[in-house]
Amino acid sequence: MKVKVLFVILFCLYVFPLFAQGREIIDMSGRKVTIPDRISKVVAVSPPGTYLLYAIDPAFIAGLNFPLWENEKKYTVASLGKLPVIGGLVGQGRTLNREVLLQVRPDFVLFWAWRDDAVNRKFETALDQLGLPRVSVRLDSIDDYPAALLFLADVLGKKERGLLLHRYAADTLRQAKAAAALIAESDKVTVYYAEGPDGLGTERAASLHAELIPLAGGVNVHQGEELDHYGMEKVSMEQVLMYDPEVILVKEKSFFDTVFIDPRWQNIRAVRDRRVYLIPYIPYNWFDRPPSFMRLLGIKWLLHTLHPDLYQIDMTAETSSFYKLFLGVDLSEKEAREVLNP
Amino acid sequence: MTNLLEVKRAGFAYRGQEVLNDVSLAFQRGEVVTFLGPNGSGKTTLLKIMLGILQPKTGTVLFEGRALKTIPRRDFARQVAYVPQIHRESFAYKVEEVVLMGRMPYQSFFSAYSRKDRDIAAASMDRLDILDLRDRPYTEISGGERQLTLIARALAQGAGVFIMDEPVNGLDYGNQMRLLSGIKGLAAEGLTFIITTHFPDHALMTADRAILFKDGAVIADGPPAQTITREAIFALYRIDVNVVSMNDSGRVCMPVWAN
Amino acid sequence: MRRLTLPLLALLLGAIMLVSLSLGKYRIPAADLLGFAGWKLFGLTGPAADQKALLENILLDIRLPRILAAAMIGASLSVAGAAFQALFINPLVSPGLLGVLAGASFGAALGMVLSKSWAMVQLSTLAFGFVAVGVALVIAKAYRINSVIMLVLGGIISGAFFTALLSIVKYAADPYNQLPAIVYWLMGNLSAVDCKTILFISLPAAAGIGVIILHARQLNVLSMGEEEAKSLGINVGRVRLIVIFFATLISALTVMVGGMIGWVGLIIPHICRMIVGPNNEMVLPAAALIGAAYLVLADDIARLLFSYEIPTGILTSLIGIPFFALVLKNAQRGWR
Repeated sequence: MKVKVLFVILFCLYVFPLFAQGREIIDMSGRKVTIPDRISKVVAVSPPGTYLLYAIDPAFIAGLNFPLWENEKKYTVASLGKLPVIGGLVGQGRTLNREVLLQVRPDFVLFWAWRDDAVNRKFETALDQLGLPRVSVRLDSIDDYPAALLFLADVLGKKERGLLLHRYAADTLRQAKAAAALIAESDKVTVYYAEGPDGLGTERAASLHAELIPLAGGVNVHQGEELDHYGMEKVSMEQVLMYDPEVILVKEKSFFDTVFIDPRWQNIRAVRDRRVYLIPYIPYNWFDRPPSFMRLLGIKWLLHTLHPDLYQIDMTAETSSFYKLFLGVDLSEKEAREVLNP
Repeated sequence: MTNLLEVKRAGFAYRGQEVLNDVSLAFQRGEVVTFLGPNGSGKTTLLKIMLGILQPKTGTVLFEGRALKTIPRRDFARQVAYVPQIHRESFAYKVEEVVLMGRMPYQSFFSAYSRKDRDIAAASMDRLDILDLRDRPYTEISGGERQLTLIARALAQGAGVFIMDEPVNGLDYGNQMRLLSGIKGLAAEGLTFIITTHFPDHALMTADRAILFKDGAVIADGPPAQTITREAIFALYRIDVNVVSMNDSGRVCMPVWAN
Repeated sequence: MRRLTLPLLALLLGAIMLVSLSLGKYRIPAADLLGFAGWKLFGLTGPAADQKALLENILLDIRLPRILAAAMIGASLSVAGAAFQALFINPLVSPGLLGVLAGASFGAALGMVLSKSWAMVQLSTLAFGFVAVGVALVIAKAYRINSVIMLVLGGIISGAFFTALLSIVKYAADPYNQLPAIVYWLMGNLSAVDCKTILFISLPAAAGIGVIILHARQLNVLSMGEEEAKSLGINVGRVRLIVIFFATLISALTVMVGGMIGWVGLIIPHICRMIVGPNNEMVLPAAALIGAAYLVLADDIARLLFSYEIPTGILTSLIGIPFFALVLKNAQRGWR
C-alpha cells in the first residue's frame, strides 16, 4: 500500500518535471527535498545507507563511513577502497567529518537513523547547515528494504534496477513468510544468537538485530523487549545452559573456532548436535550488524539452516544468483561454498 | 688505630649547586659530636653521606678503615644507626612494631621476628622509659615520644654509632632536655653520637666536640668550649652573642640584644 | 586472637567459595549437589550418568573457573594495592598508580581490534601492562631523581598516555562488533573465564602474591621513608623494583582475565587495616583472603541478580565508592 502511494508520488514527479534547478521529491520520511536533476555523487551517513547505495550502483558512493574491513574488500569493486572516509552517524566511533563531506560535495546526503533522538536531531541540524540536501530512507526493519531499494533506485535514476531488486526482495520476504507460516509451532527451532568473542552477548527476541530468527521459523531463546538499541546484552553461561537451544548462530569466527572445544559449551544441545553455525559475512554480514541487503539472502540461508527438510533449496546456486544480481559478481561454485562457510 | 668513621675530601652538589666542598673529618669511638651551622651549610648532607644514603660526588667515606661503598648495607646497619628528624607519619604502626624494625638487619629473608628480637626491642623501650607505649599507634603519641621511639629503634639495631638529624626539632623544652640527658647517659655507656643541631647551647651541654659548618666547609672543629665563641656564632648566624661561663655548670650563649 | 585471624579468614573464604559453587542461574537441587559431592569426593554412587555429566559441566567447567578467577583477581588487586600503598607511603594509592591498568586495557583493546585469537589478546594485555609501567619508570629515571614523587608523576603521565591510546583504538574500532566488545570488556566481567585461562594464570598470580607477601617487613620499613629504610639495611632500589614488578604482573593478569575491576585494590587494604592493624605482615595476607572473598561475593551478585549479567567491575565500583567515602575519615586519622 505504502509502496503504491510512493509510486504515485514519484510518478507525478516524473510527469511534471520542475523547471527550476533540481527537482523536488518526497523522501521516505515524508519530507519534501529538492535535489539536482542529475545525481552522480551520494554520501550516506550510516553504513546501511552506504550498502543500499552499493546494491543499486557502487558508482554513486562518494565517501565511506569507515575504512573497509577485510571482509568488505571481497567481491566489492576495488574503487571503493580509494574513497575518502567521511565517518558517519554510527552511535560511537567515527563521527562525521563535515569538512571532508563538504569537499566531496555529494548531490545529496542519504540519511537513515535508527531512532529519533536528540543526538540525531542535532546531527540533522548540523547536516542542514552545510546546505546539502538530506534524503531520508527507512531501513528500520528488513520489511522496509523492498520499498527502500525501489525509492533510492528511482531517485538515482536507476528505475529498472530498482524494480529488479525490489522484486527479489519482496519475493524473498513473501516466500520466507509463507514457508515459515507452514512450520508448526512445535517444529520451530530454538535459536541462540551468540555475539562477541566469548559468545555470551546476545539480542532479545524483539530486537531488530535478531529479526531474521522468527522470519525463518525460529524462536529466539532470549525472550523480551529490547533493553536498548545497542544490544549485545550479556548473559551468563548458565543462562545459555538453561535455554539449551537447538541451534546456535555465531557472529564471531573466533568464538566459532572455540565453541566445540570449550568444555563449558559441550552440554548444550546445539553443540552436542553440532548445530552451531557461523553466520556468513562476506562482503557484509548476512544477519545483523551492520544491517544490509545481504540479509535478504540471510533469510534464505537461515530458513534452510533451521529447517533443511522443509525448506529445500540449493544454497550454492542461490548464493551465486544473489551475488550476480546485487553485487554484480560471478561466483564460481567453489567461491559460493566458501562464502557460505567462511 | 684506625678511625671509627672517616670522611675524606668529600664534595657534593645538588643540581650544580655546591653544598659540600672538600670536607675531611675523622670520628673516634665514644665521641659525642655535634654539627652546627645555618640552614644549607651542608651538615645534613654530610650526615647522609656518612650514612651511605647519599653518594659523595668526590671523596670517600671509610668505616673502620673500609670504604663505605664496599660494606654490605645490612652489616653497616648493625654498626651505625640513623635517627631521622620526626618525619611525616606513614601508617599507624604500633610503637613496638616501629622499634622492631631496628631488628631488620638481623633478619634472614623468610624468618619472622624471633623471641630474642622482641626481648631486645622491649629492653630498648624500657631503657628509654617508653615500654608502656608499646601498643600505642606511633602516629598518636607526642613528638617527644616519637623521637624516643626512633632512638629505641636505633638501640634495638644494636649499633654503636648513632647518627641523629636535629633530634630536638619540634620538641618542647622539657622533652628537649630529657632527650639530651638521655643522649648523655647513653654516651656514658660508650656509644658514639654524631648529631646535627641548631642550638649552640645544646652542643655546649652535651658534646665533646663541635664542628661548625658554613657554605659547605668546616670552619671550626674542637671542644665546644673552644669552638663556640662569639666570633664563630656571628660568622655562622650573623647574631651577636655573649658566651657566658656559668659557675660549675658549663657555658651558655646569650644574645646581646636580650640584655 | 590475632594468631587466629588469618586462619579464620581463610576458612571464611573457603566457605564463601563453596556456597558460591552451589549458587547459579541453573538451579540444582541440594540433594543433587550432595550426591554429586559424594560421588566426586568419596566415590559414592551419586546421580545418574547423564546427570553427572551435566552437573560436572555446570559445577566444574562453568562455576568453578569463574569463582577461582574472582578469588584470584580479588586477591591480586588487593595485595597489589596494599603493597603500593606501603611503597608509595600513601593509603589512597591504587594498583593502577603506575599505569599498569591503563596499559593493560589498551593492550586488550588493541588485541581485540588487531587479532582474532583470544590468546593474542591476552598476551597483548599483559605486555602493555608492563610497557606502561616501564614507561613510568623510564620517565622517573630520566630525571635522575629516584624518588617516590617522580615515580608517581611518571605513572600519571604513562597512565594518561595509554588512556589516550585506548581512546584512539576505540575510535578506530568497528562500532558494530569490536567497539561493544571492548567497552564491555573494560567494564570488567568474568563471564569469559574458562579452565584454560585459570590454569595459565594461577601459577604466576600465586607466585606474584607470594613474593609480595614475603616482602611485608621490607614494605613496613619502606613505608617509614626511603632514607630510614636504607639506614635499616634495606636495599631500597631492589625491593622497590621487585614489588613493582610483581604488583604489575598480578594487576595485568587481572585485566587479562576479567577486564577492569575497579576499587578493589583501594578499599580492601583499608578494610584489612581496620581488622588487623597496619602491619603489612598481617595486612598483605589478610588482603589476599578478604579481597578474594569480596570479589567472589561481588561476582555472585553480578551473575545472579538479573537474567542478564551486570559487569562485575561496575558492581565493585558501585560498592567501593560509597564505602570509600565512609572510611575516608578513618583513613585520614590513621595517616596524617
